[in-house]
Amino acid sequence: MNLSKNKEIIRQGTLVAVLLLEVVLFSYFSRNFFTFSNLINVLRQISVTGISAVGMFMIILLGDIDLSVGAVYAFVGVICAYIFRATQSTVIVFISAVAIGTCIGMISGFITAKGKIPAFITTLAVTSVCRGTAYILTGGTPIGISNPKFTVFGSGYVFSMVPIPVVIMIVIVAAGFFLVGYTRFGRYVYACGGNGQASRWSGINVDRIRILVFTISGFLCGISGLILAGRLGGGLPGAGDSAEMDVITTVVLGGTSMAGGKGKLWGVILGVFVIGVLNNGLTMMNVSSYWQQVVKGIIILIAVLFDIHASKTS
Amino acid sequence: MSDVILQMSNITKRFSGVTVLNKVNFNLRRGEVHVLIGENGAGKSTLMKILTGIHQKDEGRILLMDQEGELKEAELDSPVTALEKGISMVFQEFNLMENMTIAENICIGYEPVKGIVLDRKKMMQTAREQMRRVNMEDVSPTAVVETLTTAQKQCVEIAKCLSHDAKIIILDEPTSSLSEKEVVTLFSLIRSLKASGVSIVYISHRMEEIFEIGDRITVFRDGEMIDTVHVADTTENDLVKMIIGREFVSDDACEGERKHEEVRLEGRNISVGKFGKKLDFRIYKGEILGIFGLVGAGRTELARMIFGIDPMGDGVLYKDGKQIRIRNPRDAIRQGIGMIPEDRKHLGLITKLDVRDNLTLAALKKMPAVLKNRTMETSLTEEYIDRLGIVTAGQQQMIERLSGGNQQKVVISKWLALDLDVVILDEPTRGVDVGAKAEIYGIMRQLAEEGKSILMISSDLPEVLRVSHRILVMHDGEIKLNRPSNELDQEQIMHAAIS
Repeated sequence: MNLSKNKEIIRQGTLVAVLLLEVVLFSYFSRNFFTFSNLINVLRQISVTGISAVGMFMIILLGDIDLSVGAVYAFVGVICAYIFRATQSTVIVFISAVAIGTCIGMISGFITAKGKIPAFITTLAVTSVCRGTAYILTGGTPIGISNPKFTVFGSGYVFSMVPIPVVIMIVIVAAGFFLVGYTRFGRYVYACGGNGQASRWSGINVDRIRILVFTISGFLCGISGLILAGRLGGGLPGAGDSAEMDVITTVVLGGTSMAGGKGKLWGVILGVFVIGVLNNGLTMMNVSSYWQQVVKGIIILIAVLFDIHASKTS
Repeated sequence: MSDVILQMSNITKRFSGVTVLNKVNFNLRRGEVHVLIGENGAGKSTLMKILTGIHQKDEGRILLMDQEGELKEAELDSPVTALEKGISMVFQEFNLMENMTIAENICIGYEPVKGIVLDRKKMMQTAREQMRRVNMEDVSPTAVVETLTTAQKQCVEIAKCLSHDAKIIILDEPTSSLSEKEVVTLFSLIRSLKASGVSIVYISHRMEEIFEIGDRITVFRDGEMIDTVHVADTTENDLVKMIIGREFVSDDACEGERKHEEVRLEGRNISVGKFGKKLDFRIYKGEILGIFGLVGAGRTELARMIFGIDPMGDGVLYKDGKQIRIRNPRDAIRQGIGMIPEDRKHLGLITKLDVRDNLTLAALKKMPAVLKNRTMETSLTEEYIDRLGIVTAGQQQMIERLSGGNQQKVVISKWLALDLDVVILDEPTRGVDVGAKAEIYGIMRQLAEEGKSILMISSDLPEVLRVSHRILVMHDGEIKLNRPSNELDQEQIMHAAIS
């Protein structure tokens, strides 16, 4: 126990150190990095990824993966843009986003669990369907909406200081901690991911847990999609392109085992910050987004190598 | 003795300190069928794995006949070496690439080439040649293996052995999944191989076959070679005696009979495995029912049906007189039935979790959905660590770090915590040391005292006799014997299990 706990501490410690290093380096190289407005900006930028990462964390805990995150963002954004045009209602748009995301998640989970298909395949197909539908509906052109009643999800503020997406993210992360750490459901997720057969033999309805986890993840992607649409100012069929890679990167970076059954949510949150600050800092230093991709790719490799090496030495 | 082609002497093998083979001697003559017999875990397979280079011996010598016809010391350090020296094995669960053709399978690893291109013509030729030797002329070498019958797959395996110029072929329970007609065909093939000078090591439990096809028999028990005898000089009774030994003493045999007369669980019309036979069983309140049988007799399959892992088919279950329907383990648990599987690591435990999380996994259902500070779980775990004497560094010790016996106690606790009426234990003491074994027997007796019904599957004959009130003996999906344990002895049980 001590060994694995120590390993966990070393791992999270490393992430904290990397985060501090980033902050120090970016503060040194860019005068505008360590300012209140930019730090708030970082928080706003990570909220889309951060919210989805809570769902992806549970999916990866199960030993599955969800590749449909970015396509769900686009689909939700486009549909919500149409609904807003028709209704002009903030509330209805919010409810629609959540409902669409939840439904897509439930469908993915149901097909994966009952059809005994790898989640990789199911969500790849869902990606294609969602992205394709978004393009068909819009004919490839963005549905621009500048009405603040719509963009409020992305750029609104609470007390004119804290961005609304940041507030949503904090609530969801807190709920995630509760669900994973303090409920029977959370324990079942770890159990099913650790050993699905043994979980079945212990009387756990493994299929139901899987469907629920995908549903929760879909719900969260719906919210993320709406925030992204708010920030982009409308429904874009190409929105969130390869967003799933950012989300998966943060979860893996946070020490969640791709084999399932092992991982801590606070590691994932650290991962979200490490990637978020990196993106923001590199942008502030005028590093092109192409180079940012290269850097992120290298980081994910190092994180996985570290994970595999660490589990071998135990 | 010039016809001896293999001599293994004083072979000893240990696995992490446990001696599984103790100074075993074994020899094989040219063109004979040499049968290996013994209980599960007696050492037959280990010896054959040493011969085929899968395991390495710790002590002893292996002499093998070389081209000049002389016995020379052989180093069998890998399966490839063994193959090249003419030793091949056909496993019960074949080693074929199901998606490839017969010809590709026969030539695998040794494909003929022209430069860097596969020489398909030569491959077909080799395949046809070997297939003729195993009487498979009527099948095309380009047929994909997954389309073949079990018997045909077995022939492909043997053809593969022959293509390596095998002098020794080991057949592990070759008839276990064949029909009677196919067995006849296999035997005529074995006879023709014999005639061509190939020696066969034949692992089997089935007496009638042994007497039909065998020349000599070597009996194993508890990692030791008991004796090698000629088939003509022995009887079934002699063999059974040798297999089970005589040292058994009933020190603390289960006292008395069961205390209750109510039937707790009854099964009717249950068809187990692919044997196509029906069986009925009943288990009483407060009874320990032992189910004995050899591997493949259908015991675990029966238990898996009762626990809802596999579908029941036409079978019907009654609990306390009422018909019940069990479609999955959740239904079984709701009906008060739990099962402790044989494969502890894959089915019983979640190795990534700690002792407490494993122990409380099934009982979580009875706790509130929001787990406050884990106080209920902690006290439950504490209770069972005390009650069963689980040796652990703490509740948050990772389960992998516990000994086999203590892991088993955690799995048992998982079910005790649910207060079930019927507990099925599949090989409960496998991989468990002697001390923990006695403790597990104690727990079972205590449960029976409390009026719970215990269904214990075991391949350990003394164990079954010692612990059970009543014993069922299964063979090929049928119950061959059903009697109180104090009316039975080891020989009667073994007879029922193998005939």
